[in-house]
Amino acid sequence: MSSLVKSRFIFVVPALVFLSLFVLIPIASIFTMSFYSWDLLRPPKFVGWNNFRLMLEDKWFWNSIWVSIKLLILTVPMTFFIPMALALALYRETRSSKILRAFFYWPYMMPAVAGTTMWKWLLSYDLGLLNHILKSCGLSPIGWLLKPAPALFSIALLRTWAMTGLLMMMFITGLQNISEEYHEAAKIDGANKWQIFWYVTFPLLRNTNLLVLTTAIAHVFRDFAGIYVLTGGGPGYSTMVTPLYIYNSAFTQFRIGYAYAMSVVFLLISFVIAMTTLRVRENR
Amino acid sequence: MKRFFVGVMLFVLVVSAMGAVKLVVWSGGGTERQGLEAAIAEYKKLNPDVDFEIVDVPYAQYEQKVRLGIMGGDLPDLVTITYPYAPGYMQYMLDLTQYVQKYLGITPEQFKNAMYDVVRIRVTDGDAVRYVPLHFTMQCLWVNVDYFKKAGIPYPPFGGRSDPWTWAEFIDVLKKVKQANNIPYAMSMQRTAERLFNYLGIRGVKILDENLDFTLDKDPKAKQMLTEFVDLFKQNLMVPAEWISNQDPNMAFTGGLSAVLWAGSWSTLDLLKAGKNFAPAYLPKDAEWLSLEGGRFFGAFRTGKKDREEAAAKFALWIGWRGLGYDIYLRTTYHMSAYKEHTVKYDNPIMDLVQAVCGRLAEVTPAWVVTIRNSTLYSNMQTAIQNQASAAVAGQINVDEMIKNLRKEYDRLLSELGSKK
Repeated sequence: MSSLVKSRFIFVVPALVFLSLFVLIPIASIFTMSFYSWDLLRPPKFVGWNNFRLMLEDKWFWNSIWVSIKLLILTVPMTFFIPMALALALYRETRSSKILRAFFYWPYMMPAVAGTTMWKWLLSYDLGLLNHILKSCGLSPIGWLLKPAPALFSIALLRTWAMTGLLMMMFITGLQNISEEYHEAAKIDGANKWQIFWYVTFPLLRNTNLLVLTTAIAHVFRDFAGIYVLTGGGPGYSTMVTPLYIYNSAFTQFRIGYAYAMSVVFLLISFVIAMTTLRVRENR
Repeated sequence: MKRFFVGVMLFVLVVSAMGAVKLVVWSGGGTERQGLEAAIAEYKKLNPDVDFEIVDVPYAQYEQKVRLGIMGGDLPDLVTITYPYAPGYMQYMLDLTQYVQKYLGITPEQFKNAMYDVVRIRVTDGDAVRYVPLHFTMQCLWVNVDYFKKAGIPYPPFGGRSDPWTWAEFIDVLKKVKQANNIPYAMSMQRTAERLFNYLGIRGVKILDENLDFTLDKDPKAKQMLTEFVDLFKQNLMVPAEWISNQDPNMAFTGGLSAVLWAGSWSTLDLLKAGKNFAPAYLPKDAEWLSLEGGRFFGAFRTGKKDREEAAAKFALWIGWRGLGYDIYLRTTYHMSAYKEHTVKYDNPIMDLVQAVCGRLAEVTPAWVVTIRNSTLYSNMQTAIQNQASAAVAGQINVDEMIKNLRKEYDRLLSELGSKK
């Protein structure tokens, strides 16, 4: 082995150790433990494919996957277009735009539990501000967290509120990297504002768009704290997303092995989504 | 001379350090920590050679940490355990029986018989005493006294009526108090399997019987009682948001939206903070009259270090026995006593009412209430009971589906556990 190869190898070793300790070994242990039954009290017991067999019969697990997908479908468009609209309005460096950017970024910096608790109060049927406003306008109050559809929508709203600042900043960075010359050239050619956006700005933002989409999907798909505090998975199981269902199985029922098995399936689904997003990016 | 004094000082320091025992206590924090600290301060005056380190463990991670501690052998000397998990950890706890005579000067039988029956079942394992009561709780009602006065309705036992309401009387009272005060709901109740168990128990229905068999689908009354429970929300006698979206029941009750709170002795401190005129009252009586006990117990882990085990047992018995550290703990935390005929001098007379109401409920509660809930099977069913009831109140499933789903969950758990335990 030449000294150059040796020195390269030495530089790579710390990263490999880090990757093994914090990524590869945990993932491998998830796969291994999914074949065990464990209650955190007695030693794990090997049960073969039993956890996966139970999972196939567990309608609430598949319901949780479906709820996660519904939430994704509901939230991702909002977390894409709202931050984009805000970024378009605020990407130029003015004093007011800087203040407004900080204002919209603030929810992202707020601890998830604190922000969600605030929303829980706002959305309360009897005591919430939103229903108070509706009632004072002569409208009927809405059971934001009492019916499946409004509860899911409330979670989507909360997620959008929390993530808008971050995604808006990504769009602003993307917009600021587009040379003004393109816009000027389009103007000279007689393009109106919409045409400039659609034919110039939007295509030039494609990498940012994919980054925003990937980030939004990842955030929504793995969301736990917000849903745990806001609805606890209710009404019934209507907002029980997979991470919450896995958490409940692991830490309220102490079915650790089963939770690992569900994590394996969820990990594979996440992997497929991540690979699809990457393939789309490569094809572009 | 100077060197001699320095030498003596150092010797004293080393000897005292060698003699001191430091006990590590895992606590749930909050008022529990305050109660422990107040008692420990007094205990250290009597036992200066013992030191304490209280470690707060957030409630959500508590059981996880205890389990991992047991698995990894990394255990504290003393731990507070919530009642549903207490049976699961008994085998890891020191038997305190051997120390009762030595440190309390009474026989183990005297010690056990001083407790309410429902507590004794929880802390003992055959002849062995595995825990001492730390804070003991009973479910009871809290009434908004002003609302009841305005409606002209007496309430038991300190509001002009001595006997508990029958179920029919209770429903009538809820309707009248709601109407007289023009409030949106009559009663608040937190979404828990334990409340539903209590409601069904009073109505003469058991989720599991004494043999731990699932009985909801066999008992002809079960469907009707569950339907009546769901109807309480439909009639706005109870607050739907509390069972559908887990809204804190104290919000509606302290906010004046409901006149009755089905909670318990543990609510005293929170309700006192609201600064309103609330009083404890008996739960209603139907087929049976009963309540559900709960709270936290205090135990010493078997660590294998004899001197520390003994110091831990001595402290546990001191803080868990009436008239000693227990009174200091109770006065600080506003919890009721687990011992019969035990009077604690609280600085607020409301606690005397709580002790009287909940003490009576503890006396009338039959043993099956504890033995069924002391099982791993019931303990593991609680999440499903709560979620299914929530779905039924939300109208996502009907009562038949609820019972069917719970039967399925019971069968699954039984096959996983291998036996009824």
